[in-house]
Amino acid sequence: MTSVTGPRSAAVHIGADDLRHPRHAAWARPLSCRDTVERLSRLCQAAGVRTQQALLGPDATTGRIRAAIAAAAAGIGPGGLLIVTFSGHSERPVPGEHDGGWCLHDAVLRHVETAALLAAAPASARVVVIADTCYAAACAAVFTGVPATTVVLAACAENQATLNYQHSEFITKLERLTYHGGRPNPDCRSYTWLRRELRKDTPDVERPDVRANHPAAMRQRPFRPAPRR
Amino acid sequence: MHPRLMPSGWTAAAYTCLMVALYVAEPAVASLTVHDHVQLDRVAGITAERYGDLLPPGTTAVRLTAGTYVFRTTGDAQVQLGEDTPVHVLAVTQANDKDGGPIELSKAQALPAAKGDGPPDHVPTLTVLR
Repeated sequence: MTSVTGPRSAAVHIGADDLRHPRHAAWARPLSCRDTVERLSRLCQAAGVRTQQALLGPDATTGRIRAAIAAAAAGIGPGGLLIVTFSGHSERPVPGEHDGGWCLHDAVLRHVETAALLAAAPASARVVVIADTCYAAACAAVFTGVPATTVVLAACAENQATLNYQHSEFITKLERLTYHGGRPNPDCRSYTWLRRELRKDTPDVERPDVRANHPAAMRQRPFRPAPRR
Repeated sequence: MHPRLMPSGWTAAAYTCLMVALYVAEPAVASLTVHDHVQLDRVAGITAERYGDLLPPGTTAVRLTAGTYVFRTTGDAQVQLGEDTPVHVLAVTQANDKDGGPIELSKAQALPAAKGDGPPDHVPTLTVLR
């Protein structure tokens, strides 16, 4: 297991599989949320993230998610690492209305709101967002304005959908490529490498993507805080 | 492709997807013609497993055991079957439509839905030949 000392690291995992908003309540219950949260918690632990919070089902409310992200972003400090993961349904961007968002227990958390919450992280910090949902990469366009270096690992493009199975192929592949069995993969040295591997052998209709708000971030080793100066 | 104007001013490609389900009663061979790289899944309840390698653009003969299969593609697709082959082929255009609408429920209930909020902007065409 890799130990991270110095900058603080934190993770907030969202598994929104109990939707009560009238618009969402009739939708199929997302099946992979619990498995995804479990896998990503394990991945973060292996990456040395000491502080983790999981908000699942009825706990994944807009209020609690906002509070959790805001507190984690403000708490990691300069050079810290914040990982936010989402598993569940998404609303697609609607031109002229909104940029899309994640469907939570009580309502949608728009990506623009999430960006504002992430903006509490210091500019020297690193933010990683893992979106295991439809239109997953849509948030990356909104997160370009986050001051901290922000990398989005998306299950698919902004104009693609993922299917609702018990396990997310994207997440199991991500875990295998980065911290398989809790041990870091020595080949996983950059987000560029990770992007290439995630996209390998995937159908055109659903292809994962990795996007960063600063091009240099693609050269960073995944899930690591900024080096100490 | 139909460009989609986003609020921030950039455009993104349309959400284009055809989902095809194949209900195979007995082992059969189907010739699938697609225009992109396609993943064929064998569906069992709430789980699915990849069935074989990705199908490349062009025509591929696939040997199927009894069961339910789905694939999704960004282009038109053709499924060719022998005349008496016990395979039912269905274009599942409504599987992603969370606003309801006509859908062959007895078939669709066994199929996965998408984790998003709407149907594709464009649904390519499925042709079934026997």
